[in-house]
Amino acid sequence: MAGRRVGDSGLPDPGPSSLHIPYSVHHGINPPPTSFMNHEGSAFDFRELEEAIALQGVEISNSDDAKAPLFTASRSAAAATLEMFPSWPMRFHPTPRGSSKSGGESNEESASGVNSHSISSKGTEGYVEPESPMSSRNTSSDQQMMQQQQQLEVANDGSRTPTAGGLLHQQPPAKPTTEKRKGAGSMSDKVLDAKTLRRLAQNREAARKSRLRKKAYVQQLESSRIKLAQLEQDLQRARAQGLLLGGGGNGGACGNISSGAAIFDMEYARWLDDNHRHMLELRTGLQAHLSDGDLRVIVDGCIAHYDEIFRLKGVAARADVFHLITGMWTTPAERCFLWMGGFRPSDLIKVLTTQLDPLTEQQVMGIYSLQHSSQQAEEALSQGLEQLQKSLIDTISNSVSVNEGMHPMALALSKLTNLEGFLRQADNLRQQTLHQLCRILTVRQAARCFLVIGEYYGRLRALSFLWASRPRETLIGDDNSCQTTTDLPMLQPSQNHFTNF
Amino acid sequence: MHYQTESLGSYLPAATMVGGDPLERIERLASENAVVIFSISTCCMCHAIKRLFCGMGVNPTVYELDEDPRGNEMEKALTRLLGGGAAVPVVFIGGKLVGAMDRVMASHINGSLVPLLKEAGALWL
Repeated sequence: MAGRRVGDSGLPDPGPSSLHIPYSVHHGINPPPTSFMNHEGSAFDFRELEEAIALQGVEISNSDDAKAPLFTASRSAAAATLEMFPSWPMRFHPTPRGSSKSGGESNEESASGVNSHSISSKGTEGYVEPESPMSSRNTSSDQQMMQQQQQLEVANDGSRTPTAGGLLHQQPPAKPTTEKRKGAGSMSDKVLDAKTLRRLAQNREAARKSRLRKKAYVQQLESSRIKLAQLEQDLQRARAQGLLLGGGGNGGACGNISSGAAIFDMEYARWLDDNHRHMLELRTGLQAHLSDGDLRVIVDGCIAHYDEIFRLKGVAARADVFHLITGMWTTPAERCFLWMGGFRPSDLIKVLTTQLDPLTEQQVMGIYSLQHSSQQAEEALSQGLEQLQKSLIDTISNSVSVNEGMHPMALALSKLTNLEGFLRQADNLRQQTLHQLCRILTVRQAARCFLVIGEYYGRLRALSFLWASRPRETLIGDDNSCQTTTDLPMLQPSQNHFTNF
Repeated sequence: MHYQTESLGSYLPAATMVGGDPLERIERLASENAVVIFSISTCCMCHAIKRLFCGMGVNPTVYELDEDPRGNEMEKALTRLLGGGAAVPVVFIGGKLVGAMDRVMASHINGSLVPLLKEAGALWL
């Protein structure tokens, strides 16, 4: 919007090249003010402002042509501040307009490139209250005014969002600069420290930029999330159809899982469904108070079901031991607490002991010694695996082969085959623990035991899904945070830093 | 007289044996101590089983087959004894075969290992 030349106003041309812009902006103020008015009209005290404007207008019109640029600027600074109220141009256009142009222009000297909306933004920033009383004292405090005006110009660069207005007015709805407003509100006493003004304005600008950045980042995240969910769905479908035969057991050169792993994942999914069915059977059986014989049948079915998964794991271990031992077949929460490719038997017993009351003394002792021996076995296996790792490190780190002239990598490969053995022994331990539990417990207790186990792991699996889809509430309405969007998890605490602002 | 090279193994000192029956040697060695483990020094599962017994307070007698001149054949004999799979580690308690790692762990879990050890005099209390 190229406006009229500055010279048209009849004022001397101060010289800076950016003179057109404020003037054009001056025009540009007109359309948006309607929106400003809608937002902030109710919050303004127009009466006071009108008085100030009237005074201002009179002064300016009187001194229009005869003053030096500086002086004009200072007065026009005041006039320009009037322009900060979006509604003012609509009402009080004629009077301050002429001088405000030049005022805006000369004040643009100190503004950085983004000066076009600084006038309007100043208004929207609401530094009008301190300004309007000052404007009435315009003639007496010209220099101070201009200085402050310049500070404002610099400070308000780019902070042009329509909703950023009304800083000093407490209740504009859904304003992102709530905290800043409060902070600025404390500045409504007449003496505005220039440095503070500048700092506040700079902070506003930084906040605005960071808000925009965060918005962009969040949008990116959301779209990525949707994309990821779709990709995962496609992957699952492809796996289920056995389409992913990538690498034939090499563990996935392209990041695809091996066929053995894919097959196991499918079988595990089916196993989980069957497990659910078993648990329903157990629940109804317990509630229906079936006879011990009938319940025993159900419990035996459960044990056989667990035996089945251990068998499947054994088969899969031959195909892809890493897939199993790293827990890629489980959900993240389960994987976090994985021990040697599955649950830790002593942990399972811990889960059960509280749920199996009442127990006879013999049972208590039996369970205690079971826990003790499983802990010893776990410890032994863990140490064995540690030994394997140490040996592997030695083999790989040695550039010169130490063993019978065998190439270090070949030797390392042969050592890796031991992993399968450890996984198998760990699964064996799990299986034996479950069997022993069933020997110690009565039929009803065993039924409850399997229910507890099933529920525990079901909840752990659900935890993984809940965690992945948890709402990031700290993002909503947190526009005040000046942290970059990379600090998302920190938003909650960081927000407190800025409430004092 | 006829040479019963195999059966002579039990009558002649082991040092002079050349073609003796490894299985018999194994059985002989196994009966000399309460807990006998046949192992290979570089085998990690053997390390695990040793740690299991030491953790229980047992002091097993360990024969490292890779450090024995006749280890190779003993290993083969053990494989046959166990019916396939890895020859080591294998555990004898009180001269009787307990088995490989999975059997040992199963017996520990079902509570039969400790009485066996006590019976053989490897554990007190």
